[in-house]
Formats: sequence, C-alpha cells, structure tokens
Amino acid sequence: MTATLPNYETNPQPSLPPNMKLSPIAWARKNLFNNWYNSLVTIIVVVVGAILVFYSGRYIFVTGQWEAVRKNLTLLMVGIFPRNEQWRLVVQMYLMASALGLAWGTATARSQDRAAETGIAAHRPTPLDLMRRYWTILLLLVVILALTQTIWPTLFTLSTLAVGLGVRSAAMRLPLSARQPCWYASAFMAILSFQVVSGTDGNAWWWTSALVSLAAFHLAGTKDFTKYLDSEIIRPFSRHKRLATAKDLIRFKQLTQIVSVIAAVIVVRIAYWLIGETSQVSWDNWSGLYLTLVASIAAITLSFPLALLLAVGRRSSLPVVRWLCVSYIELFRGVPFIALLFVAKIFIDFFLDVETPLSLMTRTIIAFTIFSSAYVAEVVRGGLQAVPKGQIEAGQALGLQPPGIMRLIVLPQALSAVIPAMVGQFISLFKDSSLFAIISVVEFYRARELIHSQQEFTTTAISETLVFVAFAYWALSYTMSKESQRLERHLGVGER
Amino acid sequence: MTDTTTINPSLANVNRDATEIGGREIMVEMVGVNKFFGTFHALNSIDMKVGSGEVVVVIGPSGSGKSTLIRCINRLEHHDRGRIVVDGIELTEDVRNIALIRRETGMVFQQFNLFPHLTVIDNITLGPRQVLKMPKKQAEDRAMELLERVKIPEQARKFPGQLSGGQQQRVAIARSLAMQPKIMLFDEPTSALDPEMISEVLNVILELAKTGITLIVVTHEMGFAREAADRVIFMADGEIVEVGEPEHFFTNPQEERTQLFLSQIL
Repeated sequence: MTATLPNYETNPQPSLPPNMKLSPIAWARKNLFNNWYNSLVTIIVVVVGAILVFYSGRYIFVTGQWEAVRKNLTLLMVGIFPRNEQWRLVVQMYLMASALGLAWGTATARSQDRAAETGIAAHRPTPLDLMRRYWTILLLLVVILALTQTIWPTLFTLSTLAVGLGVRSAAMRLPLSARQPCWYASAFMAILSFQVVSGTDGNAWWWTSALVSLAAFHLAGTKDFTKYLDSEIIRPFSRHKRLATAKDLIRFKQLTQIVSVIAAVIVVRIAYWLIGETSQVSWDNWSGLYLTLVASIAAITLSFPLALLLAVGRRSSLPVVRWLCVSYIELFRGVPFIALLFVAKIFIDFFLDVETPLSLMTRTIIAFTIFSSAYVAEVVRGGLQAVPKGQIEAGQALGLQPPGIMRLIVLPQALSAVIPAMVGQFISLFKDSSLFAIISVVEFYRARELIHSQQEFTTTAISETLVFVAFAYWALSYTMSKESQRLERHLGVGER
Repeated sequence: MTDTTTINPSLANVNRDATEIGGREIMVEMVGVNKFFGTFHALNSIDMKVGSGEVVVVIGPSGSGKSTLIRCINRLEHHDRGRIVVDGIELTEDVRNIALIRRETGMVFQQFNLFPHLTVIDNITLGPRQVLKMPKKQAEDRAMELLERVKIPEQARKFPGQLSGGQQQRVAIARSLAMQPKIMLFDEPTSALDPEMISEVLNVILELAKTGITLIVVTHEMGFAREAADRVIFMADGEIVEVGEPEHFFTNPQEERTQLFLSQIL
C-alpha cells in the first residue's frame, strides 16, 4: 500500500516540470536522428534543400538577367503614368506618409491614455518588432531599391519614412483636444493626395468643400472647442467679464459652426483656385503596381461595409430586404469576374444614359467591389450564424433594441470569428486584380507583359520578370496573412 | 424609472384595481396563458400572481414548462393566448411595451450568456450606457459597487472566459442588477455549475432576496427553495399543479404528482 505512494523525501520539488531545454546536438538527435528512417529523411531533405538553395542563389545573384526588370522598373511600378507628371506621385507619397503618421500617432496616444485609465499597459512595438512584422514588405522594398539605377528613389523612400515617423511623434505630443482635428486632418490629407494624382475637374472643389465643412461643423460643435474659445479667446478680449450661461454657450456654438463652415468653403475654394484645374492626369493614367495596390485597397475598404449590410440584410425579417440581398449575392457570386469587368467596361453605357461616361478606373473599381462584396457577405453571414442564440437573448433581456444587439453583441463576435476566411477572401481579391488586364487596364501583371512587347525583351528574361512579379504579389499577400493572424491573437485575448 | 401611465395610459389601470396578494402589490400577473411549440402544448392555461418583493421558486421535472414560463414574462418567448401583465404594463405586440417590461426585468440564464468579447466591467456597463444612456464614469462606479456585492471586484478587467463558472454567473447577476430591475428572473442559475460553485451563486441570490426585489427562480435546488422562497410553484406537463408555502409544500404536499416528484428527488 505505502509502496505505491510517491516518495516526497527524495523528490523535494515534485510540482516543477522537468527541464525541457536541450542542447542543439541533443535536440537534433532526439528529433531528427532518432531512428534509421528518420535519419534518412533528414539527410534527403538537407541534400535537396542545399541543391535548391544553390540553384536559386545562382539564379538570383549570377545567371539571372535582371536587366529586364531594372530597365523597366518604372513601368512595373507606375505603368503608363505620364513620365513628366511623376512628381505628383512623389507629392502623394509625402502627403500619404504625413496622413498615416498623423493617424498612427493619434491612435498611439489614444491607446496610451486608455492604458493609463484602465491600468493595463499597452503593448508598444519596438522598431525590431515592426521589422519582424513587416519583413516581407521591407525585403520587397530593398529588392526594388536595389534594382533602381539612381540614388534618388532610395533617398525619396527614406525621406518619406522620415516624414511619416516625424509626423507620428509630433502627433503623439499634441494635447487631447487636438485629437479629433487630427483625424480629420489625416483624412483630408489622404483625399488631397489622391486629387494630386487623379487631377481635379470643375466639380472637385464642391465635394471637397462639402467634406471639409462637415468636419468643420462637427469640430466647432464640440464642447471642448466651445469652452476653449469662450475662456481663452472671447472673454480675455471682451469688455463683458460675466460668465457665459449655458444658453450663451449654445448660441455661441452655433455661431462658431456657421462661421467655420463659411471659412472652410472659402479656404477650399482659394486652395483650388491656386492649384488650378489639373487635367493633365486622370484616374485612367494609374497603372502598374500602384494601380494594383490602390484598386485592391479601395475594393477591400468599400466591399467590407457593403458586405456587412448584405449579410445583415439577408437575415432581415423584412422579406423585400431579404430577397434583394439574396438576389444580389447569388447573382454576383454566380457570374465570372471577367464577365463583370466586360459589363463594367462596355455594356454599362447601354443602361446608364449619362453625358460624361464614368472613367474606366471607376468602373473597374465598382465591378471589383460588387464582386468581392458578394463573397465577403457570405463569409460574414457564416459568422453571424455562429453567434449563439443566448447572446441575442442576453441583449434582449438587457433591453437593447435589435440594431444595438447587432452592432454591440453579434457583429463583434461574428467578425472576429471569420477573420481567417475574410482575409483569405481579401488576399484572393488582391490577386484577382490581375484580371483587369482583360479590359486593357495596365495593372501590375499587365505591366510585366508590356516589358516583353519591347523589341529587346521579346524572348529573353521571361522568367526573371515573372519571378519578380510573383515575389511582389507574395510579399504583399504574406503580410496580409500575417497581419490577420496578429489581429486574431489580439482579439482572442481572454476569449474561450 | 419612467412612469408607466405616461407611456400607455390605457394600460395604466389594468391591474391597479386588482386585489393585493398576501398584502403585497401585484408585480406579475398571468391569466390563462397558453404557449405552443408546434403541436407541443408547453404552457396550459397558466394563472399566476406574484407580489412585489416576493420570492417565488418554480420547480418541476424537466420539460414541464418552467423555463418557458419565465421566458414569457420578458418576451423571450411569445405566448399564444392569455394575458401577461408586468408591473401594470400588459405584454402585447407593441414593441414599446416590450421594451418597457424588459427594462423592469432582469434575467439570469443557465448558460450565463456573458458577452465573451467584452471585459467583465464592459459586460456590466453595456446595458446602463446603451439603454439608460448613463455616463461612462457613473456606469463604471455602479458596476464596481455591484461587483463588490457579488464579491469579485478584482475580476473587473478580465474577460468572461478567464473566470470560473460560479464567477461568471455572479457577473451575470451583476450585469442584470446594473439595469436596476424591479423583477429578477433566474432560469436554472446553478444547473451548469460544478457542485462546489453552486453555493457561492445561491448565497448571492439569497442576499438579493433580502433586499426586497421581486425574484422568480426556476431551480432544482430544493434546499434553496426551502430557505429562500415565500412561495413554491410546482409545474408538470405545462400546468401549475400545486402552489404553497415552502414549509407546507415540502412536508405536506397535497397533489399526487407533487408527492411523486418530491419522493424522487429528496
């Protein structure tokens, strides 16, 4: 009886796990050479791997004719964008860097505040963390820069990064009240950057000033801003030293709102008057990797909210809404993307009787968005169905209304459950953009084909350009996949 | 809470004239309530009155309609015939009435149904902030008070998945209480718990019973029923078979079916 009990006298720390750390040799012996067939497999894998590394290394560094890529790097990057208008792209990159830096800095400052409030330290990535996270993109950047013929692209890239990081650290030092304006400024810079590369027509200033005055209206209406104006500007300079009443403040707020909207419209109008109409370039000039990236990002950001509406609509209790959503999804999922592109390019003019036809770029992005939203909607619906009924009942029992239950309880859980499937959809969407070539939009892959229509490269360097293009697609897709895994881990904290 | 008369004056005096029950104002009244699931008769002509501040325990074999009964009170289940009046508001198709009744009733589920994507404190403040439009600071202060009351203030920033079953159920109770309901409905609150966690939850409910809130508890815990209940309702096959004070009910049941049930479980 007593013999079966463990002897605690000779084993003083029975609760500690055994030491799992092995020396490299011991580890290899345990995992790679633990019996004869495992040893054989290890040896074969090592030999085949070495041969692969040798041949691919020789191809990349010695035999590969990278001249084709080197000479046509501009074509691959921006395609047929007019060469003497390329400064616009440079301006856009700086504007985008500032916009992203501003948004990033503001978001970081906010999460730091939140961490201070809840007492849970936010995880701050070090530069090394960021490099590990984005190593494929960095590698792609290094490869591209290594293929350039002058020093300027490298200097430009580095200065863009410097601008972005500089704006970020500046944004983090701004006071709390500047946070809302920062979001707006960031969005405005992004919009402006696209107007620089897409050209502006006579109407651009209208909708831009509409957006800016909406932002101004909101900002001037915030409590903080009203109080700030009242206490710092108006009262010190006014003869009336009396305290403003709530009624005064409201009137004052309305006045500020009207003034700021008028000011916004005037400022935008003057800005556009200064820029003048820039019709040298248009959306249709976009091409190359630039187009692939912009079109994919646009389609992803546009199709996601559309897909949410469709997925929720498909489960609606109103039959008309449900039928509409079902028809949309089933129709656009059931036709090939190429057919949709042709419809967008050619047939849409038969249905739409407009004076100025939509640009080809707009049509392409619309077709892309419609196509992907139908797929993403079904993915989201899968997530909605995975949320247990008890969650909805708990929301009802708390007295929440159906829209609140959807927004606060069902959607957050449904979306985090379908991240892998959704990102898979987005990665496939990103690569589907190569089908644009069929309606003679020069996207990244089509730009590569154009290289080989040149006399010099009709039959040479076919594999080199292909490898380069494939690598670029892979690097970007892999980053998307890594980021989705990170998001999953982040959202999965404490769940299940 | 909002005065019911201003919302729907025609309903205001529905049961104000009704007789009191055991010296208490009537809080929940069911008259001739019937409920079908397809052809299955889940509730059969239920007549029930629960007074304000009363603690009513509903017991009975599984499938007897206990859960359906209390889920009809806050319209998680739709009743097919009969009348349900909660605190003077009749449950009709009118969504405003349903919303009003759901504000007055809190519910605790067998499976807790905490929101797994929100921290404990966010679970508790969700209702007050979204439905009662309470400012964040005030809602969080109230939530912390409630967590003190259910004795787990240190878990506030954790996610439900990191807590034990008993702790989760106590959070669920705090979440319901945060809406300051007049009536709390408990749907087998301890049935999904490990045995050693049952008492921690029952203690919280016992504490609650002393505060004068109206409680309707569906449970299999006979000890709890005996200790806490003002009245015990025994249900079988969708009918209320017997109603009585716990002492009388457990020692001297009148109906044959009650005697059979008690003999099987005690």
